[in-house]
Amino acid sequence: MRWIWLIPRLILVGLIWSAFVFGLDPWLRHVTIQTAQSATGAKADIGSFTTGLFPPILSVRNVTLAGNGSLGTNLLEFDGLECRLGGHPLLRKSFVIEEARLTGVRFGTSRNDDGQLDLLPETDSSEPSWLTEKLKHVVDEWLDGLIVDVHQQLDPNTLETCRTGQALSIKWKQRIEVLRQELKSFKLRVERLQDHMQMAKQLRSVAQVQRYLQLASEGELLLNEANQLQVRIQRLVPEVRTDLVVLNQARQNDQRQIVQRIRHLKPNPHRITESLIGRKMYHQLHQTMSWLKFVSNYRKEIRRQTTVVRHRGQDVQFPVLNPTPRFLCRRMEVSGELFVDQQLTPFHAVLSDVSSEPALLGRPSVFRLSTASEEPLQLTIRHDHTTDIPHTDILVKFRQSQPQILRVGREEIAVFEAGLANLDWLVGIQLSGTNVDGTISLDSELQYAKLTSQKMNPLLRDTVADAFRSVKTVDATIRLTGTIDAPSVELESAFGEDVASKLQVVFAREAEELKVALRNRVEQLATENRQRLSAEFNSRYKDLVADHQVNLQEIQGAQQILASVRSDPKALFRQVSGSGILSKQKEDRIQRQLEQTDKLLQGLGGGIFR
Amino acid sequence: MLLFFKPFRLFLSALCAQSAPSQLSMGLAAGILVGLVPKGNLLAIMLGMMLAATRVNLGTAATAIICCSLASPLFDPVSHLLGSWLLNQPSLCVFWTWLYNQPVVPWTAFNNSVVLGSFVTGLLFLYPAHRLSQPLFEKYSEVVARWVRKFWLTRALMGAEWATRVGAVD
Repeated sequence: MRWIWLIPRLILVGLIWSAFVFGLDPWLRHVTIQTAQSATGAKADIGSFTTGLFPPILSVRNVTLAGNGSLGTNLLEFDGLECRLGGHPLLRKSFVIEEARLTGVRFGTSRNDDGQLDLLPETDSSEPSWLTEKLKHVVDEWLDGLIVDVHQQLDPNTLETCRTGQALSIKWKQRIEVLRQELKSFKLRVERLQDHMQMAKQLRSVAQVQRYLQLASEGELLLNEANQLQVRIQRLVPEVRTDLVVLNQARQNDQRQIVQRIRHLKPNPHRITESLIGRKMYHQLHQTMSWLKFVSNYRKEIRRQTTVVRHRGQDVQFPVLNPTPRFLCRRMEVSGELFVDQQLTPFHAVLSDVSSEPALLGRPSVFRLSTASEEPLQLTIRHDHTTDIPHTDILVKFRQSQPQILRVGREEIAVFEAGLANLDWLVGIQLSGTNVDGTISLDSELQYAKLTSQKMNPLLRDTVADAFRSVKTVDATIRLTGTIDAPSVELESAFGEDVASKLQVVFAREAEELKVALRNRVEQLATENRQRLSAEFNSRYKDLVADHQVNLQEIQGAQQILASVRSDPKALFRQVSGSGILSKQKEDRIQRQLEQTDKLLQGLGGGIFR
Repeated sequence: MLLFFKPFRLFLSALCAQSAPSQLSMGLAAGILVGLVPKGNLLAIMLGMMLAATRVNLGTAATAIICCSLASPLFDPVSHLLGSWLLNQPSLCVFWTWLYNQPVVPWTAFNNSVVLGSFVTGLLFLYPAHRLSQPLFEKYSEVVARWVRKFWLTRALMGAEWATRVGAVD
């Protein structure tokens, strides 16, 4: 009877004990994997998960977290995590990690499978919109721009001589064309007059006389207009002479100004900075911002995943005498290897005061990382969530000893290459909620600078190369404001200003050498313009005068005929009466009218002169 | 073959060892209590351990636990109301606070309205369930035993001697 009572009790105790010993660890491992997978969106593997109660410890080995969207690559991998939990807080349901050690941390290692979950979420674009927008402006066109600037200064089309010559050419072309059109219409009128004269011969005598009288008036009008036209044509010559003087003045102005223009030629410093180091700076910024966003999202996701969701009932919180956060990691030492400037570098880091309730703890979380290599990296992150709005300070100091090559431009136009050494990066960023404010600075030595161009004037090419050779340091600062999703980015650099100033100095020096060549060029342009203008004008003027002479001769011939008809009315009457066309009565009446007219004219003359 | 069945026979006979009607009814009442309380907290484990430590019929208790565990979500609204009312009683606040500050106690999740409500409900049902079910066990246990003995599997597992004992329950 005793055994029959004892056996089931022992079996029950054994089952419960077995559940703790053999079931708890696999269950915790499963929960941790699910949480990690939800947080990263990719596969998570845990080699072993061991817990111990006396003393309370937690040990995790061979953990790999795949990267979401990075096929076959681990986001993070570590060999082991050993945590020593606080016993007393654990009795009160608080997980306080007194000390932890994370060893063998590596990033970006390869894995056997693709590491993606079955439902692959859509990945964001590799570059955010603001960076794409920025990089649009950082194209390899600075050198093109410089060449265009210099070319514009020397472009004949921009010289006053050339512009004046072109304007005069157009002006005279239009003026002569107007006169030509007037001559053309005038010629038509002369031809019509001649036609009317021919047609008048067919008329009867009186009508013929009347028609001739009308045509004589028209002929006189045409002659007057022809004379006016001749005067206008003759006025062209002095006007052209005046314009040639203006052209000569333009030539003199060009010769005086062109050297000054080269001397004052100064490329845009901002464009120089953006073209040469903008891309590198913006990519550094992009990396920093991506990392910040990743950490921020990961932290939110972890917080969401670890938040206890009560499906049944409601937990009532009672005051605790010695309040302790539900989760607290007092200190965690991290060691491993990370890629710094594409080199695997050992690092050591310390993470302290990570808590689920920072306000209760009253201290910010601090992460300090350092590498001891030829390219030292120092990273400090201070995350303060003790207030309503979390505040994060990030400070990174990094030196790149490996020479970096900057290459801008296009082979078909011009390529500039520079070698940078000892690049000192300093990143200081403050995050307050979603607002970001900070700077990313670069300070480096310029080892060499080389410019190759097939299109550029050799003299100017050497000039630009000289300007770069005299620059010894390259520095730039990106100023970051706005929000973490849409930051406002501004690139500042004394380097661009330095290069621009040196280019200006070199251009000024070289301008003296260019002086003679440029003056000759202006002189040549002016002569060409003058000759072209003169030749064009002479040719058109001659044609115009010749056309006018023909018209004039024709109108003068017609006018002589008509003038002879109108000058003696009596002779015209005699010619008509002799022909027997008029009756006797009409002839007498005309005779009387003529006599009365003579008397009237004589009397009128006497009246006027009396 | 007998060696294969022997462990099962021992286990089943152990489960049904305390087979007096009062032990059966106590097993049922304790099973209801454990079954109603949500699992996954120290309170459920402690209640289970206590049940195992008493001389009640474990078979009946296990059956009650399984049935009540399945049905307990249906009683959650009532349990939640009762638990909330108790937890928010000002006169009990000092006691709850004191309890909450004791080591290990937070693991019992007593501060959850459903846990406390279902626990109290189970306690309230404990005695009535025992008193009401005892006459039923007295009346029907022999009938059930006779009916069970008809099955060859029962005979094979429990043996004729034990089946006779089941039938001899008074």
